[in-house]
Amino acid sequence: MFLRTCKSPALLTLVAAVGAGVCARSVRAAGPRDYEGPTGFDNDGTVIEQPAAGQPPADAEQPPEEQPVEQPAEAPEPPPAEEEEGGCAEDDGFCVEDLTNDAEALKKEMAPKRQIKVAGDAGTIKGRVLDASSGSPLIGVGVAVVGTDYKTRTDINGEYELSVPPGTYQVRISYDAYEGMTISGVAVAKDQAQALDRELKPIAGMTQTVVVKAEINKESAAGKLVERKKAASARDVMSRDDIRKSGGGSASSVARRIVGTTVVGDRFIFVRGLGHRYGNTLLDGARLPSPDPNLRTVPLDIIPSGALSAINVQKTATPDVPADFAGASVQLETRETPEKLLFQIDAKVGANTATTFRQANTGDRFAGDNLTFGNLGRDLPSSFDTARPIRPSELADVQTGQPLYSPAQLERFGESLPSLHTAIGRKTAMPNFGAGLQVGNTWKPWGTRLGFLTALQYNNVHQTLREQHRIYSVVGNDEDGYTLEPQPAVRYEGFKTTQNVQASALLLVKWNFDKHHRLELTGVYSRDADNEARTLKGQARNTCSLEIAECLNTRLRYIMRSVAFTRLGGRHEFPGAGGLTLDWFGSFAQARQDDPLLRESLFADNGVGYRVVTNESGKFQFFKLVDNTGSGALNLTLPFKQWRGIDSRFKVGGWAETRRRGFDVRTLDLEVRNYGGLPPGGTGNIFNKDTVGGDIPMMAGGTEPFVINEIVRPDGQDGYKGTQSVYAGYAMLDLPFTRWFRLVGGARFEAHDLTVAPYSPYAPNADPAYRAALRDRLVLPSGSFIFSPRSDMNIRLAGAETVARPEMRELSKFLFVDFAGGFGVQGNPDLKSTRVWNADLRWEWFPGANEVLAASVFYKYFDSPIERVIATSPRLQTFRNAVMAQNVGVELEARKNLSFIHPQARDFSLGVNFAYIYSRVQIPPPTPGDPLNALTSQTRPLEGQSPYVVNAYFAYDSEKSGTNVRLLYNTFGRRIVFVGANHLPDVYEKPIHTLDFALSQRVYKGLNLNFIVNNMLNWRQTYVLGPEDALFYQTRKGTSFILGLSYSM
Amino acid sequence: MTTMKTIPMFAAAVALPLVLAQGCGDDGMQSSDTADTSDTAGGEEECDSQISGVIDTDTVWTCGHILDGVVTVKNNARLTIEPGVTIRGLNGSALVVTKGSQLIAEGTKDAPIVFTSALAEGKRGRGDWGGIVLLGDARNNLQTGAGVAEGLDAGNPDYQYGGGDDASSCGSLKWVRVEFVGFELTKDNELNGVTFYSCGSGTQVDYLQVHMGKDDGVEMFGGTVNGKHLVITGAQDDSIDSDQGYTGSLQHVVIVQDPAAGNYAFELSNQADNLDAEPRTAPKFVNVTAIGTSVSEALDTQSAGVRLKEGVSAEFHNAIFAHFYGPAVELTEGATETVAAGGGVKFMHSLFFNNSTIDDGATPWVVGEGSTYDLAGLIEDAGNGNHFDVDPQLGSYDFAAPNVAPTDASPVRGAGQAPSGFDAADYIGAIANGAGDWTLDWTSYKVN
Repeated sequence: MFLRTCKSPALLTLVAAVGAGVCARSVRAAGPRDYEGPTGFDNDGTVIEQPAAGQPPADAEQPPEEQPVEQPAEAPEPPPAEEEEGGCAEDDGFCVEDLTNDAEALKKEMAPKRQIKVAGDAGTIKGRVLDASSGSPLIGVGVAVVGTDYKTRTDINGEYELSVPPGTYQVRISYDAYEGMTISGVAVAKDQAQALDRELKPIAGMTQTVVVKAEINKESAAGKLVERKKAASARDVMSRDDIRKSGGGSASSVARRIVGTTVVGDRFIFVRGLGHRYGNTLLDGARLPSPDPNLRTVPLDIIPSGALSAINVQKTATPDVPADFAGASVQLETRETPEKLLFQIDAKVGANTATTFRQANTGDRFAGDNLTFGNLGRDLPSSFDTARPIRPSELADVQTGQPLYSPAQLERFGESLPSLHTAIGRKTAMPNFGAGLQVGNTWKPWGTRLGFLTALQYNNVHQTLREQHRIYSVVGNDEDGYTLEPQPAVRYEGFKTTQNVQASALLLVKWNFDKHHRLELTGVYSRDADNEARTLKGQARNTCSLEIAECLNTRLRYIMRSVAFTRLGGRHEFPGAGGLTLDWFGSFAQARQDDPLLRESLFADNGVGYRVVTNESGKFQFFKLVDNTGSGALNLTLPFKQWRGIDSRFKVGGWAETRRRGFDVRTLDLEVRNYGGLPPGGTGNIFNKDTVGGDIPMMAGGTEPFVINEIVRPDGQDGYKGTQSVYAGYAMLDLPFTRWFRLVGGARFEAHDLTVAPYSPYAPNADPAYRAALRDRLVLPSGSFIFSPRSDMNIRLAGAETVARPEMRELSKFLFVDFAGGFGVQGNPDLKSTRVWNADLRWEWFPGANEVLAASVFYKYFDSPIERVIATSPRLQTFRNAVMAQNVGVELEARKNLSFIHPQARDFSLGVNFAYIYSRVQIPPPTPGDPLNALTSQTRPLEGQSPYVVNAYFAYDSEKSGTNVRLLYNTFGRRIVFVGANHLPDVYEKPIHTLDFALSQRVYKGLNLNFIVNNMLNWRQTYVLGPEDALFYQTRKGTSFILGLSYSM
Repeated sequence: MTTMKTIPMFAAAVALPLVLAQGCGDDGMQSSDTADTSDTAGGEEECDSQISGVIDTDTVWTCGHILDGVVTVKNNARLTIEPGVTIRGLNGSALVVTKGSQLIAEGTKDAPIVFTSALAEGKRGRGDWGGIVLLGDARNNLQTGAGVAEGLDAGNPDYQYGGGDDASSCGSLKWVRVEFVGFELTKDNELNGVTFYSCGSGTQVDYLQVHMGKDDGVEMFGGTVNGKHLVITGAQDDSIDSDQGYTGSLQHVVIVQDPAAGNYAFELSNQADNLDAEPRTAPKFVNVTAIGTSVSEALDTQSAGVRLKEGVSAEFHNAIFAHFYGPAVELTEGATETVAAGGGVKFMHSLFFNNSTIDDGATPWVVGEGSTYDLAGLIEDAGNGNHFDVDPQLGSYDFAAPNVAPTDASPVRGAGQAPSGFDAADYIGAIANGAGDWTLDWTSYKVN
C-alpha cells in the first residue's frame, strides 16, 4: 500500500494547514500508484511513501469513554458524497492538489461553511479535533456523515459544526498522516447540538517515512495565520491571497495592513514607526541589497508581486535571522512553482489626478527611456579622459604653467557632453500603463519533480508633484525665546515630473529529486528608472542674487537602479539521522545605481527676463554606484522529542556575507571663463555648440562664453569605496515544556567588519583622506516564551538584542546638495553601530479562520542611535550617534469576519490595527566649541518616529460572484523628518490620511478585472516647523486610478 | 509541447540581463592602501616645489612654491612667507591656516607677496585655485560658538573655527595679492579669495588685493579683524561679505566689479539661522570706493551696492557707490529693519551715483517683499551728509586699468568725515587724490 501524504509528526502542529490548503488526503489506496497526475507530492513537492505496506491500521486509539462504536478509517466503507470540485476526491486514494493558484478552491478548502443546506428540521454535530500528541488543533480535518453529502472541515481552531437532519449517523473524521476514525451511532436531535470532540493520532511509524514538508500552505491567508500562530517570534504575515485580493497591485499597499506598519513612498515598509535604518530585507533568507545607496530597506516593488508567496514581517529577532534590525526584518518568500501549466497575463492602465493629461515637465528624450536603459545614452562618452579631470587649468607642465588641453580639445569635450540641452519643456502627461506575464509549469523527469515559474513585469508611470520648499530662520534670544522670522530664507515653488519605468524579470526553478532532497534556483533582475524634470521658482536668500530677482532652478535627472539577484538553495532531509534537515543557500546580488547627466541650472530675473547665474549653472554630474553582495547560509534542524514526548527542535547554522561597494561622481561644469561679455539670456537651450567654447578669451576673439571645467572636491567628497563582511553562527532550541508552554531561544554570534574610504578615479592609490572602520563582535541572545493557555491563544514574551549599523554612505564624506541653497548631506566616518535591546509581550487569540485579536507591548533601548543632524555652519546635514533612545509602545490588532453579526454578513470582514509608540532620545546638550552639537530640542522623539500608526481595512469577498473588495486606511502621527539646530525648530511631517480602494472581479473563467483607486483622500504631504506649523515642504500626490485585466489559464 | 519551447526563451530573458549586469560590473574600483608620499614643508626648502598635505611646524618660505590640494597649517605652526615670493596654486588647491596657527605674509610695496594661479599668464582665470582660509579663535554668533569652514571636511576638527579670544591673531597679510581664486567646493559654495573665520583683532591686514575671485573677494565669519587698504577687483560674487557676528572695521577699500559679472559690493548678514544672534554682525566701513558693472552700459548683471540682511548692523562712512546695475542698498528681513530703526544702520558722508541702472535709477533703495520700511528716509536723511546723483569724477573706470583716485575737480574732496578711531580723512572714497593713491605699484589688474 502506498500512502502519500505530507506530514511529519515532527511538526505535528503545522499539519493542519497542509490539509487546509493542499488537500492531501491519506486514505487507503487500492494499490501502487505511479507519480502521474496531480498527485504524489505535497505542497513542497515531496513524495511521501509508506513502505510499510499493509501496516495494520488498527492502532487507532479508541477512547474508552466513547459510547459509539469506532472503526478505523481504513476500514472499507461506502464512499462519501461526491466531491464538489473534482480535484480531490475524499476517499478514492491519495491525492495532492496545489490550490495556491486557485483562490476560490482554496477558499472552499478553508471555509467550513460550504455545506449542503439542510431543508427542514435540523440539528448539529459540532466539536473540535486535536492532535493527540501535542494537543494542537488540527485545521482542515474532514468531518463527514457517512452515506450522505453532509460534510465539513475543521477551522483554524480545529472546530467544526455540521448541520444535519435529525437522526443517527456514522461520522468519519479523517486527516492525512493521521489515523482516521469513524464514529458510529451519533444521534442528532432536532435543534440540538451533539458534541463530538476527538483527538487524532499521527500514524505510527510515519516518522521514518514522511517528510517534514510544507509546514503549512504558505500561500493561503489562513495558512499564514497558522504560521504566525506557530512562529517562534512575533511576526506578521501577508499572504499571496492578500496580495491578490488587493487587486493584484503593489505588495506595499497591502503591507499597510500589517500591525504598526506604514508604507513610505508607496514602496517601503516601516514598522512601529522605525525607519529605513532599522530594517533588513531577505529574499528566501538571502540578503537582498537595496538599489538605493542611501537606504537599507528594499523597495518591495522590485520583485514582481506575482512571484511572491508571502511577505513576512518579523518584529522580534530569532537567532536564525540576521540581527541587523530593530523594527522589522522583511522576509520575502518566493512562491511555489505551479503544479500544472500556468499562463497568466495582465495589463493595466492608470491615471493620476495630479498628473495625467495635465502639463508635465519634460527634458530631452534619450533612447531607451521607456525601457529603463536611458542611462546608457546619458553616460559620458568614452572619449572622455578618465585619468585626469578635464579642466582648462589642468597643467601639462607645472613649471611653465602650460595647460594640458588645447582650446580645441576643451571645446570638443564641452560639446560632446551627452546633451548640452538643459532646458525643461512642457508636455501633456500620458496615462500610466503596465503589463505582466507569468508562465510556469512542472515536469516529472525520472521520477523527480521539476517546476519553474517565470514572471515579467513592466510599468510606466508619470507623477507630477507641485512642490513648495521653505527654509526659515529665527529671531530672538535665550531670555525671550525664539520665533520664526516670517520671511523665509528660501521660498521655492515648483513642479517635479517623474516618469518611473520599472521592468523586472524573475525565474524560479524548484527541483525536487525525491522526497528528501530539493534544489531551488532563483534569479531576479529588476531595473527601475526615474526620469525627473524639476523646476523651482522663487527666492533663496543667499543663492539667488538680488532681492528683487525671481530665480528659477531647473534640474534634469535620470536615475537607473538595478538589482540582479541569484540564489541557489537546497533542502535535504536525512530520515536516517533522526529527521535531521539541512537547508542552505548561496547567493550573489549586484545593485547598481547609475545617475548620469544630472543637469542643474539657476536663472535669475531682475525684471528684464531670465539670465543664467553662471556659478550655479551648467553643472553635469555623473554618479555611479556598484554594490556586490555575496551571502550564504547553512542551517541544520534536528527534531527530537523532549522528556514528555513532545516534539522539539534544535537548530544551528552559519551565515556569511561579504559586500563590496564603489561609488564615485564626476562633476563637469560649463563655466564662464575669461569671457568679458554677458552669458546668453533666457532659460532655453543656453548651453549649445555656439556657447560652449575652448577658453579663448573674448579679447583674443573668443565668442563662446562657456568652457568645460571639472570640479574635483577635496577630502574625499567625490566618492567612496567600502567593504563589509558579516560572519555569523547561531544555535537555538525550540523546546516545549508542556503542551501549553514553549521556549524558543538561543544566541547568534556576529562578527562584522565595515570599512569605508574615499575613492577617486584620478588618484585611486592616494592616501585616503579618511578611513571609517567599524568592527563589532557581538553575541546577540534572543529568546521567547510562548504560553498557550488555549490552543487558539498564545502569550509570548520575547527579548532580543539586535544591532543597527550605519550605511556605507553615512560613513562616507561624499557630499550631495539637493538644490542650490538647500542642505548638503554628508556622512560621518566616526559613526558607530547602534545596539538595540528589544522586549515584547504579546497576547494573541485566533478565534476563527482568518481572525485574530492581538495586543502587545514592547520596549526598545537604543544605545547610540544614529540620527541625521544639522551642522550650524555651513548648512549641512550629517549623521551622529545620540547618547541613547527609548521606545515604548502598544500594539492592538483585530481581524474579524462579520458573520457574527448575521450569517449573511460572512463575506465581510474588518481589520483594524493600531500602534502607539512613545519615543525619547537623549542627546548631548549644545556644547560650546562643537558645531555639530547645537541641536535645538533636547527632549523629543527619535528622528522619524511616529507616535502612532493606524491601519484599517474593510473587505468583501464573495466566492460565488468572484468579487474581492478592499478598502484600506492608513495614518500615522507627526514625526520628525529633520532635527533642528542652532535654535531652528525640528521639522515634522504632518499626518497623512490615506484611503485606498481595490476591487477584483471575476468576469469569466480565468479572466479578472481589477479596479484600484489609490490615495482617494489626496491628503497633502506637509513638513512643518515651529509652534505655528510654518511650512517647510508641501506636495500633493493626487488620486490614482488603475484599471487592469488579468487572464490566467 | 508549446510550453517546452517557451521555457528557454523566458530563461534567456531572465538570464541575459543578469549576464549583462555582471558583465559590466565592477568599474575598476581598485582598492589600494598605499599612500603616495607627498612633501610637506619642512627641512631644506626646495624652491618651486609642490606643497601638499599638512604643515605642522614653523615654516619659512623664502622662494616660490606650488600648492597642490588643500595645504593645512596646523598644530599652532606659523607659516612665514618672505617678501617677493610668489605662491602658485594648482587647481583644487587652497591654503588653510587652522585655529592657533598663523600665516605671516608680509611683503613690501615693491616686493609684494603674490598668491596666484599655477597657469601661465594669459591662460589664467577665476577659480584656478582655491584661496586662503584663515581659521581663528575669536567670537562668532553661532549657537555653540563654533562652525566648520565651508566646503572643507565638516567632520574634521581641524577645520573648526570660533572661540572666545577676540584679541587673537590669524597672522598678518601685508602687501599681499591673491588672484584667480575661488574653485567650487560644493554646489553654490566656492572658496573666497581670503576668508577670515573668526579672526581676532590681533590679525594684521594692510594692503591686500583679491583679484578675479570666482566667489567673494574677502569674507569674514565672525571675529574682530580690522584691515586697511583693501582692493577687491573682479569678484564674480560679492566683493566683501561678512556674517556670523563680525565686528571689525575696514578703512580704505577699493572695489571694482567686472562689467560682466559681480553681485553685491557688500553682502552683510548677521546670521542665516538666527537673525538676532549675538554678538551681532556690526562692521564699520570707512572710505570706500565701490564701482559696479554699469560704468559704460547697463548690462544685465546681478550687481548691486550693499545688501543688509538677516538682522545685521553696519556703518558706512565716506563711501562712494557708483554704477551699480541693481539697487545701491537693499535691506531685508524684519530683524534688520528693527536694527536699522534703532540706529544700527548708518550711511554717513557717502555718495551715490548712477545706481539702479536697470530701471534708470528708479529703485536705488530696496526693502523686502511686502515691507513698508522707509529705507530711503534712513539714507536720504539730510543729517547724514550724503550726496545723491553727484558724479564723483574719478580717474578711470577701466576694469583692466582702474584709477579710482578722484580727479582734481571731484566733489568728494573735502566732503568726507572719518569717525573717531580711524585715520583722519576729509574725503569720500578710498583714495584722497592722485598723489595719495596707495593702490599703485603693488596691485595687478590683469584679467588672465
